[in-house]
Amino acid sequence: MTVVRQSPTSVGTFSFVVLDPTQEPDEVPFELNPRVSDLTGLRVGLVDNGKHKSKEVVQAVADLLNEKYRFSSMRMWRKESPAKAPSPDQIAEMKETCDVVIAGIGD
Amino acid sequence: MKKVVVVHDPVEAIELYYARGWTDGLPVVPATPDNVAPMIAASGLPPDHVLGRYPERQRTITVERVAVNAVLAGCKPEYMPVVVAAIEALTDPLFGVHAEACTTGGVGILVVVNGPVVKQIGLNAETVLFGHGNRANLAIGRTIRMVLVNVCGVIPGLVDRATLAHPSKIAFCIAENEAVSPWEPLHVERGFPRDQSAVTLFGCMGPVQAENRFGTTHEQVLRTIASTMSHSGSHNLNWQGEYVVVMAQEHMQTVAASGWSKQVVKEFLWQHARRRVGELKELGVLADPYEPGDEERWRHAVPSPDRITLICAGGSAGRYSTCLPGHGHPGITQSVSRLVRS
Repeated sequence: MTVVRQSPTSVGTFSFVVLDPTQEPDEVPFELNPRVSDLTGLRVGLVDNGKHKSKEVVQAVADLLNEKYRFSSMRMWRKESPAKAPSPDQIAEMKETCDVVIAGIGD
Repeated sequence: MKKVVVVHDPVEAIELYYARGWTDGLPVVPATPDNVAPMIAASGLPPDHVLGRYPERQRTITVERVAVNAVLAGCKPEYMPVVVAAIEALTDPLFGVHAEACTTGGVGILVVVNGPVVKQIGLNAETVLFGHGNRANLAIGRTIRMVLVNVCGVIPGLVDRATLAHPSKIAFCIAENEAVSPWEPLHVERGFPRDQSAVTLFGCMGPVQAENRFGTTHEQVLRTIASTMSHSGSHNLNWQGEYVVVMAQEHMQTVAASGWSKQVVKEFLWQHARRRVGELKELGVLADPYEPGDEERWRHAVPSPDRITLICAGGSAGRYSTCLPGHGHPGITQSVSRLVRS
């Protein structure tokens, strides 16, 4: 509890409790996957967030990296909404078929 | 309940809420255990009952958290059943709250209330419909924003990235004027019995008023509304979301005199709310390159008539309607209706 201040003009002691209206995020277990040390020959997933030119931008990034690292495969998924995560089915496919995934955010 | 002790002065409590970033920019009613308890009781639900989840922000929204923010927003306890229904609709996955809360497009969360609860709690369906003056409209609408800011952490400028926004992001709640409407009310369209109450939530851009003073036919009024729906800067021409049309009484009477059903009116609006694809590409409203035939092709403001919601509300004097563009195709957001528990 935090005492904010005591009014210099107060007569006697009077206080009341007000409530904090905020909420912390739910505690969701989260662990980062180990980072890859070398992109050479990996299977790469690409996520198009559905915004204009998202697919082209992500593909361009992948193509530049591919020139150097010679990926064994590249596959694109398009999200239903820019504001939602890929669907559970899409994530399952990525986990099954990709070593790394390239995604981006933009308007 | 999370508590802060304030010594002595209610005004100090108001300043505390400002200092902590717990407001929408306007002064709030300080929440205390004594004024939150009646809110929880009026909901008819236990305080830890989960009304919904906002997974992108990892938030679980309970009755107690909503009740605290309803107090801040100025709600009376009898508003809580409407607030509860609105939060349930807000967190329905179909509504897509994260897009609506954070977009640069500046979406407001429109709450339309139908049924007996409108009179019971004194919601306004008439004059100054979207403006100031009515406690129920403003406090209920404001609660939605307070929950997004305080419970879900959708902080303006940080998570909420609206480029411009509009005043309706503060509070955006109206009732439909079912008594004067010639058509079935929105909640009946959505499958609820007429004698039950319901809320429907839409993610909408700001209202764009359509004025037609001298047209005497339904077609003149509706073509004016359709033209307003399809102005070249309308979000819908690109993103093909839903569209809400609110028809005030004078326009509604002119249109109703035609004998047209609501469905026929929607079909007429859909047909006429359109612009040439070639023009939109020339302006850069549509991104794709020009193709032969674009000068003859049309882009409608909505993909089909059933994506238009028509509501009768507003004052009895003044030949106006207003058009509220939606936000995005059904994969991004859909309007959602919920029963108001009595």
